[in-house]
Amino acid sequence: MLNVRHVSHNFGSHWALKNVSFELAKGEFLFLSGPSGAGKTTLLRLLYGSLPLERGKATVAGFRLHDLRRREIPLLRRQVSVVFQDFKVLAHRSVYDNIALALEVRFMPRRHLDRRVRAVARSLGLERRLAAPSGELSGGEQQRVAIARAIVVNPQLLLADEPTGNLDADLALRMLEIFQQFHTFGTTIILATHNRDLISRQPDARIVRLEEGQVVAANWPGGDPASFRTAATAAATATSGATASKAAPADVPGPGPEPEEDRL
Amino acid sequence: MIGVVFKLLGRGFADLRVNPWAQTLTLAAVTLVAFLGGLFLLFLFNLNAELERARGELIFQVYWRPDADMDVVASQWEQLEHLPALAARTTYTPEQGLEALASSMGGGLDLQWLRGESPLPPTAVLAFSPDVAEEETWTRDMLAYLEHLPGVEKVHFNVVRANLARAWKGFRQHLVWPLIGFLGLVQALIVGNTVKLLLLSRRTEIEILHLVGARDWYIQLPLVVSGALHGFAGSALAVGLLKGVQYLIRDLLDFPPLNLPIVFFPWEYAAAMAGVLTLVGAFSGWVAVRR
Repeated sequence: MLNVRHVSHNFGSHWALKNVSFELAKGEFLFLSGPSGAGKTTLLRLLYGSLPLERGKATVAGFRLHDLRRREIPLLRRQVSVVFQDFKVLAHRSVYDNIALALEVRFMPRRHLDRRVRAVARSLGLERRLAAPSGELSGGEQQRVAIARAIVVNPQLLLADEPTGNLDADLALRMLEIFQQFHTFGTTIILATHNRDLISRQPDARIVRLEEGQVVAANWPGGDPASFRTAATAAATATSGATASKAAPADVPGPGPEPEEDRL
Repeated sequence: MIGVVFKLLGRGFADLRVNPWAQTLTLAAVTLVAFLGGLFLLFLFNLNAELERARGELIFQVYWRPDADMDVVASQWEQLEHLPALAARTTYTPEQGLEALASSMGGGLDLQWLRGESPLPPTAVLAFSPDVAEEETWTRDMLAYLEHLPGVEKVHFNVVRANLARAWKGFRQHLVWPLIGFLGLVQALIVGNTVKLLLLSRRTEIEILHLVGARDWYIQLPLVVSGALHGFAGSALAVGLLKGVQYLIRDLLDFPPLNLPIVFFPWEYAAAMAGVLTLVGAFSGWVAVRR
């Protein structure tokens, strides 16, 4: 599903990512953790084609990001959905229109589109709000609209960038439950967060921790952290692997810190 | 697919309801810029028309011999009508010349006694607007042609006036038209930027559409329609305002000795202005999506 190898990215002289590598199999749930400025958003942006991948290699849902042409980006984004902290819903359009947007750009026939939109809205408790302008909804409801828009297309991969950042603790847990619900249906999910409480609620999830652009820790859920590296190199599909970078590429300043698998 | 295209075009119209204040201010800005540009165009058009009328033509006065056969002369006058670059032709038979002479004296000269025995020759006053690039050669050739017409005694040609005409045409070619072009460019830049600024207020929408996998044309089509509508509506309002202003000031300079009625420029000009601004608006909508 996802394979990231030696990916680095810089904004001018600042290195946002340094030699990041990990893999993710279909149907897995990965927490991308780390403090603000650790490189989580940059990594996600690379994964959905918002930033060009210039150093390293990555494959997402069959798309080779290091060779991605501009005209292929819309196709990538039809396989990779994104949810943001600031919701990014169209305030002047109804809940229905916001959810339907993702299907309209795929030219789905109106009859099928209507069925899908209503089904997803029902699953997220939005069926009574479909006609309401999205700008009139609460923060939690707007985030559910954003999630509905992301999952209505049955994406191969769902990326969520601090999706609970603007929500209170209860709503954040409710959002996590929604992600867990869709994960059980087989959706592969990467959720970037610095909320440790949220991470502890999903004991079987994989975790990759970034600090200053480097992978400094990764776990092997339900197993011995030490076995992680072996598993990562042994089996590509079953690998829940995050190999911490031990040395930055020649053009990346400074060596990376030693891996700390248990530090999350 | 065609249904989708029509839907997107319709969305371009429907989107005009979104953020009405910004839409109104943008329309006002486009209208104002188009109006100011149009006002300058109106000024240039009237100035050009007046100068062309007063100084922009080459005048030849052709005199036939007094004893020339008037049937032959009349036939030649008919032929002169088809000369290239002829702007105006005025002819005088000996009798008409007499009347014009008496009239020019303000009624203080009684020439009734010469009626039927006018000593004045048949005369033609020919005004031309030749292409300035070949004017000298053209003038020489025309002079030669007119002098060699059968029955023609002499041809008067005002060199000073010809120089003035040449100077004005050069001025118009080297300054006025580039000025109009520059004006159009300034209008296009301001209108384009104004419309683009409005569309940037929709960057969240554009970003979301990109995120859900929309192709550029899918995003651009409604924005192009919105931009074009702003350009068209702004220029149409501006033309209406210009017509109103021209109506109010039409007689402002129309008094002796100026006698300059302010006329509205041809509707083709107005249509061209609206067309250009519509295209500029549409283009701004197109480029607003470029990343």
